[in-house]
Amino acid sequence: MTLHIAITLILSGMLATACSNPPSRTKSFGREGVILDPNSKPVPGEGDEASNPNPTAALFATAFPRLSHTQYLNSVRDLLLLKAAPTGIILLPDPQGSVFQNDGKNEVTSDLRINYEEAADQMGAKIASDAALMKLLVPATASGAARAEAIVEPLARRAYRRAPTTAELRVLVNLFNSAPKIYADATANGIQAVISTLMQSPYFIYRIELGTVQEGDFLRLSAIEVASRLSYGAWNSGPDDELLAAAISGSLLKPDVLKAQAARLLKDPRAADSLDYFHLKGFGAEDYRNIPKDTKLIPDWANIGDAPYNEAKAFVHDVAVVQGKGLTELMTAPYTFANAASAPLYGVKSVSGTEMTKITLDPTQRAGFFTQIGYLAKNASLSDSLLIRRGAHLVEKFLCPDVVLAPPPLPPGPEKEGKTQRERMNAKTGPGTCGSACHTNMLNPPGFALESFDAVGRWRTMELNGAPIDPSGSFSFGKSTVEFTGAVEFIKGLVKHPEIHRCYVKHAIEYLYARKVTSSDASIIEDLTTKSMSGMATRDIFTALLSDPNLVTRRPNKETP
Amino acid sequence: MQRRQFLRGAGGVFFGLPFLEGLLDSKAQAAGAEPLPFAIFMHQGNGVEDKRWWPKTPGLITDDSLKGTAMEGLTAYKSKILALKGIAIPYQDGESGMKCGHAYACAQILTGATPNWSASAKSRTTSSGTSIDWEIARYFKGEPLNLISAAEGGPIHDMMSYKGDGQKNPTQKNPFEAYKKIFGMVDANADTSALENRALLHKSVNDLVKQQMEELLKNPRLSKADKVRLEAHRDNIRLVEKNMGVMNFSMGEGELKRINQTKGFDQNNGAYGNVPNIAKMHLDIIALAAATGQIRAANMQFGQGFDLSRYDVGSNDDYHTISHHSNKGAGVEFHHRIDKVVMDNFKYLLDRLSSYDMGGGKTILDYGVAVLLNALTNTYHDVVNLPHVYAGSCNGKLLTGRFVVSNQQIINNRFLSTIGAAVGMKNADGSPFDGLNATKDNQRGEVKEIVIT
Repeated sequence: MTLHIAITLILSGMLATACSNPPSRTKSFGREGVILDPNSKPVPGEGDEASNPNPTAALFATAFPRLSHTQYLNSVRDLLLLKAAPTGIILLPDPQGSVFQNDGKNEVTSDLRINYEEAADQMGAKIASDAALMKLLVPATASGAARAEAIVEPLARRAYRRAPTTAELRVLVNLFNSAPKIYADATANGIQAVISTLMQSPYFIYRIELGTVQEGDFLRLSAIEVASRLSYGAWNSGPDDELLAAAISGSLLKPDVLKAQAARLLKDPRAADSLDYFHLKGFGAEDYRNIPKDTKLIPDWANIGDAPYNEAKAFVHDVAVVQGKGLTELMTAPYTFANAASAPLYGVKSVSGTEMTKITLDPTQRAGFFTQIGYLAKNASLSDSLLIRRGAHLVEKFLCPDVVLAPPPLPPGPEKEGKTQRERMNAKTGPGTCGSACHTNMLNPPGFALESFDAVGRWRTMELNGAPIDPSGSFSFGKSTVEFTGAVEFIKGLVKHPEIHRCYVKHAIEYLYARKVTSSDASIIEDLTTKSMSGMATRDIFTALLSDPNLVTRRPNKETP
Repeated sequence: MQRRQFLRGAGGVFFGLPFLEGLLDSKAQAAGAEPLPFAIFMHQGNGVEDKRWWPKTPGLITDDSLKGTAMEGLTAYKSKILALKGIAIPYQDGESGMKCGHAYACAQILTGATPNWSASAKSRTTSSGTSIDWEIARYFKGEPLNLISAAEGGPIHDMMSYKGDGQKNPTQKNPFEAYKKIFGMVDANADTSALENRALLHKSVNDLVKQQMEELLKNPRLSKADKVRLEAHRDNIRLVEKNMGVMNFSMGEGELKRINQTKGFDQNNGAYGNVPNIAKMHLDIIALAAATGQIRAANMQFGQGFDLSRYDVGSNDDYHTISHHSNKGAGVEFHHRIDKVVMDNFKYLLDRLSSYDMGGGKTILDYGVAVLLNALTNTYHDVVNLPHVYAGSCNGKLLTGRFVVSNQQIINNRFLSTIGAAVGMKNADGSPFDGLNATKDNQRGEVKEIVIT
């Protein structure tokens, strides 16, 4: 195997000769303290006016990103000091937006508004009717006229993620003291009313980033706003008391304090949820539940249920949280997790029960996430592999090409002759066809490598018709090439290439900053790409991004007064 | 008038209607909201005394044409009702005597679908199709209110409403539970002011949240896009408030007095005398739910499908016995009197719907349709020329003020589909809904005689 890579410019387009080209840059932007090479190309993103003339698409720059549903539920958990995020709250799904669904495009529709009201009622009633839960919110020492304020102020501080103003506090205390009588206990009535209000407040539902001063193309955020960015990045929830105190004092804006807080948050157990969420969403593993297959042909799949999803969840948690490793391990690990239903698909028969158990895989056959049954089965038909889909999905989701992968993976036309799927797809999309530019060297080869796995990810050496599988190939993107004889060789070659790491870092930026990547991120992307190639842990990538000066600014909408 | 008004529910429990401010009259405070069309179906069992049930002459309904008929009580609504003679159920082999005509017809009267006949127990007979109340409710993303005033455990207890093939939609017999289902959050043991206080809580919270939204909207740093975003959120708060405003209906004192005279409600003790009184409580709830937009379809079964209730009409016989004109023909008069009892309840429903004044001479009744129907025709329990009368035009979509007699029997799928279309249901291609459980051509299409085009 050989790997030839030439990266001449930071963030150069990978597929300059293939498919459609990215829009050209007309204006350069600089992150504070970082001067970009004026000849370098931007990272295409909705935030670049040059690449996105449609102002409505620049909504990521909203000053009012609405909490994602996960963030909302986690925030309710922390607001009410619950041990776990509440269950039983119905929030209508948002339209399919960004991968992580936290980039500010989500809106409060009339249905969601009602959901919020019902959730607020529900949680208010839950607390008000449960003495133990209510006790958590009522300071034991509070008494007299100050009692209401002693109860309300911490709640408001957590909900608003800042200190409530004197006027706001007065209103809430009045509400607490004059709450409509629903329960016999006056405190319960007050708690119910205040919780109902806080959970519907725009200060709770939106992570407000109005900013302070404009500096060039960027708006500097306040310490309070930075605290929320930090906590929602690290925890998918609001700041805790310590972080808020640093924000209220203003010290959070000092780089060393910001870095220390970021490191602290990412060591907290709540960061594990965030790391899991990032990988499951980013890798598309949330689609691995109940993957349909023809169980008449593949009876082994009949009882699989959510095992592929649970496997992915256990795997990314083990690698990123328990072992504290990063992308290379995720892509090359010779182990995974399985239960009694899924282990036989790996040729392992010693696993029993429904719980996920760590199993060792044959390192000559399998390496990391791409060779797990979830990825393989999801990118397959009901009865067989789909090599182009596997390849296209890998390129699109894990290599972040700055081109649009179009037309659809399988161009229309009559079926081609061939003993194997590889032969048929080559005849249809390979050399000499109109799809060759994208398929021959880029989209098809990863599929060739993964042809050693059938529709449900079982290892195979021949197709259903007995024709032998040829999993070798040559994968090229940009000026780089990976030669391989099989899946393991392909994947291990891939992770030595910066692009998969660069794409991973870009996704981390999108997740942690809740926006698309912009040209201002170029420097840190390259820095972390290099470190990721050297084995940097995902947790450390998160820490670096949440400590970066980029965290304290945002790009305003162009029409901001 | 009392500040607080109550329904009396099961076991003598009182419960209040949701109050905000100024709920002391029966006028809608709809704040300009256009009422949503609805359909209410009320069913009487055992057939009618058909010689005195229909208006006397086809055509325009007049005082004279109603005089002496079971519908005489509807005279005040003569311009808002339409009697339609000529409806038949599609599957009529229940008449043969081999199958129970009651069960067989009840399974079809709101579905027009083939009954799943149970030879072992007629009460287990179901329909193979979804009933129109479910279809309407489901079309508008809800569930129908399905109520019954009948003794528990009797034959053919709840045979009207179906979620699908063989899936009965359980009827609710208890007005209190029915109320809870629609308006929620009522604890039978709670302080009777709980609902008012909960409404006040919602109002207080909404006021505060709205105030916060307004404060944010005043911020000069907002971009245009963010302003649009927040305004949409704020408007949704107002929308919720408006809906709460629509709920600002209450019952009139006279109706409450009558309801409060209901004694000893117990549907489980075998007594069959409470049907009309409990029915009125149900109808109160149905009217309120329709007026406030909480439901788009409701089904009210008055008595059982095979109705053994004893009504206060001067006979000790049960209704079914009366319906077969026993006692040397005296049953004819008693049957007619029972028809008038049922019609009195139907009128009660119309009164309740008409009490919600929407301005411009319109009431909630004008925006929907209430249908009184019977799965059997007469003393012979025929299944053609089934008794059907409706009130309300669905905001001008249905003809009213007439007695329409069809020369050919109209299979009831068509009638039910026409009602669905009037409420707003459409086929996948956007045309008015016209195919409820239709498997034959004569089950498909609208009833042109009653549709205003």
